[in-house]
Amino acid sequence: MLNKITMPSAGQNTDKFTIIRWVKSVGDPVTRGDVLLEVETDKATLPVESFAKGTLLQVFFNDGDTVTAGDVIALVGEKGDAEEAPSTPVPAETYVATQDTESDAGDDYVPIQPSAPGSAATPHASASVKNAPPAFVGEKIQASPAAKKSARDRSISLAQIAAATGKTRIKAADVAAFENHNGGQVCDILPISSMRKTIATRMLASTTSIPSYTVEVEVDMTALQELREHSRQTGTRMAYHDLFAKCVATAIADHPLINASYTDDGIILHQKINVGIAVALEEGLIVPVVKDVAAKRLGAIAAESAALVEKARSGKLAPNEMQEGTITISNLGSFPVSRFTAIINPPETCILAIGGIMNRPTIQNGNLVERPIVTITATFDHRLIDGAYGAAFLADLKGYIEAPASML
Amino acid sequence: MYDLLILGGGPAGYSAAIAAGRAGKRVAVFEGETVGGTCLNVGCIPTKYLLDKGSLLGRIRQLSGSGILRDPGQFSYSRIAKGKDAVVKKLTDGVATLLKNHRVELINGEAELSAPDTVRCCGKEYTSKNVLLATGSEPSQPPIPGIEATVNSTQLLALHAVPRRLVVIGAGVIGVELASAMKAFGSEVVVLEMMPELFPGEEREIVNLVARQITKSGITIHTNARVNRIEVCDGAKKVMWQKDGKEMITMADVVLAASGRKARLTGIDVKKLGLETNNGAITVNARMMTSIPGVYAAGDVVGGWQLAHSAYYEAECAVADMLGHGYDADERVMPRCIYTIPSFAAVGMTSQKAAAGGLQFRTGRFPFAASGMALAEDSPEGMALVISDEKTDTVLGAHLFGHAAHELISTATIAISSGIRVQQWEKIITPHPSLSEALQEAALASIGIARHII
Repeated sequence: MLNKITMPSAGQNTDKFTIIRWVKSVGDPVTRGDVLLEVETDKATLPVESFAKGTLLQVFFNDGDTVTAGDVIALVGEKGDAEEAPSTPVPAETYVATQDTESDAGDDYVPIQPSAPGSAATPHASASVKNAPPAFVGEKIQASPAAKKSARDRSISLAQIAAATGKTRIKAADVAAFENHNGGQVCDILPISSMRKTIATRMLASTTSIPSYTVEVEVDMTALQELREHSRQTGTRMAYHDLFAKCVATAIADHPLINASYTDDGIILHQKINVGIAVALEEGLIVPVVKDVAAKRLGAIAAESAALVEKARSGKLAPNEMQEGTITISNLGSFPVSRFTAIINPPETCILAIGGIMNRPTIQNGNLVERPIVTITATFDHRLIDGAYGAAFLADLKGYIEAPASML
Repeated sequence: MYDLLILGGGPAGYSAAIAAGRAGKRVAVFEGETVGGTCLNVGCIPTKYLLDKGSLLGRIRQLSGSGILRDPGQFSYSRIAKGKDAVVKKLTDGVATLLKNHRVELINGEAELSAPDTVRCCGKEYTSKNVLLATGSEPSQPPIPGIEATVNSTQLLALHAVPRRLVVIGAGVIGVELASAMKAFGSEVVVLEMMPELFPGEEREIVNLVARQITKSGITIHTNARVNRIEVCDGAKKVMWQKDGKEMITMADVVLAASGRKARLTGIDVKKLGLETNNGAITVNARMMTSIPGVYAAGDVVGGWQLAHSAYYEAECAVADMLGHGYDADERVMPRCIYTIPSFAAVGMTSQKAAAGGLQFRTGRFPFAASGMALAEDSPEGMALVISDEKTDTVLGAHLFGHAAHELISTATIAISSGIRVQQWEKIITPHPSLSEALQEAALASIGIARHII
């Protein structure tokens, strides 16, 4: 009995997935729950499991290919079922066979009527090689799975290799040779990963649709530093973002619009305060969310955020762990950054950009003293938050950061 | 002992072999590659196959533009290339069969004329009273730095894919035809011509129509454009050229060097043999004999028209002389065609040449836009131009641009070589509707009696 394995939708905000690698190969036995392949979504790596038991009879896509949710990606069945399996997914209507039905691997059909004046057909390149057009009209650049992976690992586009070597069938050796010969050349084209594409789309959408402005406030971190040190000594590891998250959630209580979303149909006041913590990854940025911060004690928040950050760094965040954020904290304090501005994470209304701790001279009670100062720059959605409202929220936030006991 | 040894199995070589074989002579042809020569293998035939498919695609696009066709579908260049190769094979096999039927011996190998009556090939020696040199021509490489990065026409025809960006150096017949074909298949084409004018020897008015149509099809042509060097940059070719003192750069995926062809003298040591040449081509007299008695030459190797039909004519003239009933070659009435889309064809004198020769002549024109058949075929672009002698009323030249020009020209060739007067041509009934009417009407227009134009 032949089972079609389809690409699941995985609750992501995209239905396109890139295949990273097949874990099982054609001919391998599989049982229910076995991981067949790993795919990359906009933000995470996901395993795809087999729901059927049998032998992996056929795979229809290779490493590096883009698949859409719902595509049939493999067939699992019994060895004897293979005879009935079509070698390519059969289209709904078959077409009239011509006299010479011998279909060559090199057949290169392009439209008679080009889509734009003077332009030839769009080649069937995958998203990552769209940048450099091929040297020949209608050319499909084909590469072995090893070559595709090698090119991805080295951030080289297959189109570039095709143009340089004149080959349309690229092997792993061609990728290595290209890399060796290509030192110091003028053009470098990096393929765009799913994550990068998602970040680019969302950032552009945010800056073009939200009228934002920023407000800065400087806070004295002395109290928070002591609190953190005290917790460390009593065995609870706490990051600054955990403490900030708690302060933010408390400040929101009196300024509910900070935890809202502006829509044309009305302002949505979110019940729970779900704080997103921006985590930097080698290939980009990801925001795991600690849910219902107001209801959790600091220890619980710290444990949860630590687990989420670990998962984020190893690409194992589940979709629901990145959803439903209501406010985001972005901390560049590990760099010598005095202050910066962040971009609001739609559909949120505010993002807090936290700079590093700088020891600065301040005047207290007429005396010159050195204090650890952090600049928090808030970016607000002006459709919803006016200057005074935002400043009032920040004033309360500053109050809680500088005197955490006042949160009790 | 042979009666005739022929070096080269192209149009000159094989037609000479058939003529001599038919007369019962013992003939051997030496061919280093495939019979049929440049014409069948890498010239006339393959390019016309491509241009026919390109013209068809142009037709489909035209009908899609007017809404007669919708969603016209796709085409595969690699299948076109395969079709072309199949036709070439059929024709070359056909030539081999013709030679066999005429009991001509075909020897596959590169031959050398070691003495005026001796040919050496593959370690054997052959002797004969008469020899015909028909080794043809090959693409000449202009002395441009970086020329190694270009392809010649033979190499371009061998591709099974269409270059995305094509630069053609040289707007002669070969350059312009291949540019037209590749454009039709989807290339972005730029043609760079060194001279100030295209086809300087042809009728100016008609050449201007050709140039306009080429430009209209999307091909960019630059005249007075001199290519200085070609560099390779990341697999693409950088063509550096200049025009009016300005330095220009055009990027290409393929660069075609089509700036001319030169006589191929492989196996013919002209110095050792004492063969007279001019400008690299073998010199022949009116009977196609070289400076060495018994050694004849015909086709591209003698320079001249460099056309396959000229090769046929010259080869048969040479054989006639060998057989004892020779005649002086007269190639004055030579039709020449340029297979752009649509094509150009001409025979006889241009009005420029007639004027320069002090002849008194009249010019008649008939635009295809006035031809019922051209309109019915949705091909109104074109013009027929005929010049007739004012004193004798004979036809001096005919120049055509438009659909089927290369077929129509033969009627004009007969008119000119038979010496009929335009008034006699008027009495010859031409079918209606047909494009041939346009040619006849142009002739009649030259004496002021065209029917369908004022």
